[in-house]
Amino acid sequence: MSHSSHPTAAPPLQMGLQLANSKLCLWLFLGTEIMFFTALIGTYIVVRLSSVDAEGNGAWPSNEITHIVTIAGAINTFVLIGSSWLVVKAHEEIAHGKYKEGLRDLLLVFACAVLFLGIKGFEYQGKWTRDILPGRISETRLQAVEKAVGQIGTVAALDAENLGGDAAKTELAKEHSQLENLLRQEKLTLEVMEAKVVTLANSQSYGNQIASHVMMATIYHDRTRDEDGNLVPLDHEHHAAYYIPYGNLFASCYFTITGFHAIHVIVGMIIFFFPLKKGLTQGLDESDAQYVENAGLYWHFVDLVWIFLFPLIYIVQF
Amino acid sequence: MADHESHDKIYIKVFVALCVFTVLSALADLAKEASPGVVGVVVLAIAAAKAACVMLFFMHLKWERGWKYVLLAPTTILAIGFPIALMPDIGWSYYHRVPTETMIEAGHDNDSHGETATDDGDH
Repeated sequence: MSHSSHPTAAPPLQMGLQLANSKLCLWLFLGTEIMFFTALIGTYIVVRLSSVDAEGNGAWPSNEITHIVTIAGAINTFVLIGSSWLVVKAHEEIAHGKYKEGLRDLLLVFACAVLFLGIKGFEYQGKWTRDILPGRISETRLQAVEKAVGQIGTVAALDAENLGGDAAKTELAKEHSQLENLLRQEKLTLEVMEAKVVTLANSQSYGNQIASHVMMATIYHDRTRDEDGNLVPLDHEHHAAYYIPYGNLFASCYFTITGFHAIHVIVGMIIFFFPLKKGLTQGLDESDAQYVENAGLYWHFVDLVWIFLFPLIYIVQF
Repeated sequence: MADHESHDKIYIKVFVALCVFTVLSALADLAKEASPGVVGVVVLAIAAAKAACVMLFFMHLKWERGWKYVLLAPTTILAIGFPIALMPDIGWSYYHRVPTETMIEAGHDNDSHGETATDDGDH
């Protein structure tokens, strides 16, 4: 009995789709990636729209407060767009036997990826030095005071040696203790607490101490010293006792979304590393065209995600 | 060879269009007088146009066969449906009924100053 005559036999096999298996697999993978990033971006949009103040107006932290650098995002957009163009160019060149030109363009794509990560690292460093990190941002006045007290204590303990040895250490510890007690004793209402800090800052006896301690705390935290290792003056952006409503939500969204995107850039660099290595040692050939096309599809997706992240994170202000 | 050259020309045109769109987005950011809502809609429309350019030409979807619809339609529908499904609960109702200042005071009354506004809102 033949299989075809069996009533429950499987239907006859047919030819698959008219495209390479590797390309089909890559597209299926990109389907899962689309789901992943749209879930992240969709959640970000919903969370952002729901971040309102007491009157129901949008209260998402502004670019100025969170130190979002729009020009850095715009440059990175140009870098990724340029690299996307170079990938399709490289694929066309390799497919038409221009292996040298194709290798050159793949090298430029790799350089673009390095440049993108460098600019992103510069942006991350700005967040790090200003303590705009998930879970570390004061969202209320009380939290801001608490954080300032904590930073003052840290500096008093750690920087005393640099400021004059044991005598200075004892003096700083004493000052910190007094200051902390004054702050904590008044922790009955937010209004009294805030008024006390203002009074202390304006008073002859404690004003200088608070100012210098907060300055030292911020300087220490920002690790901003000149080339000789001396402490440098603060600019107006560096102040410890301020608070950002929804700041932690912003930081979580920012680092989660851009972090996952940066991981995809790194994976893209690994993907491009293999044809680059082959091209530089043995030379590329026509068998590499399909690999480069698939790698290009992945890279265009990375570009595609950034095309939406740029306006949503750097420009939109509602 | 002619096909190769025509593709090259298309890619250059798309690249230039993407650069122009990016400049327009950056200029929209400088329009401080404009309503944030209008700026948001404009820059997202520009982003959609850029995404269409990349998908159609750089990712070759313009020249691919019908499988692209089978593969991309479900993910697109689910991707759009996800934020829409979240909006009624998180985006539209909850925080309007529980203003931020109320949440802060609630945290203070409990002497739980380390809590975030979101934590307090769960009470």
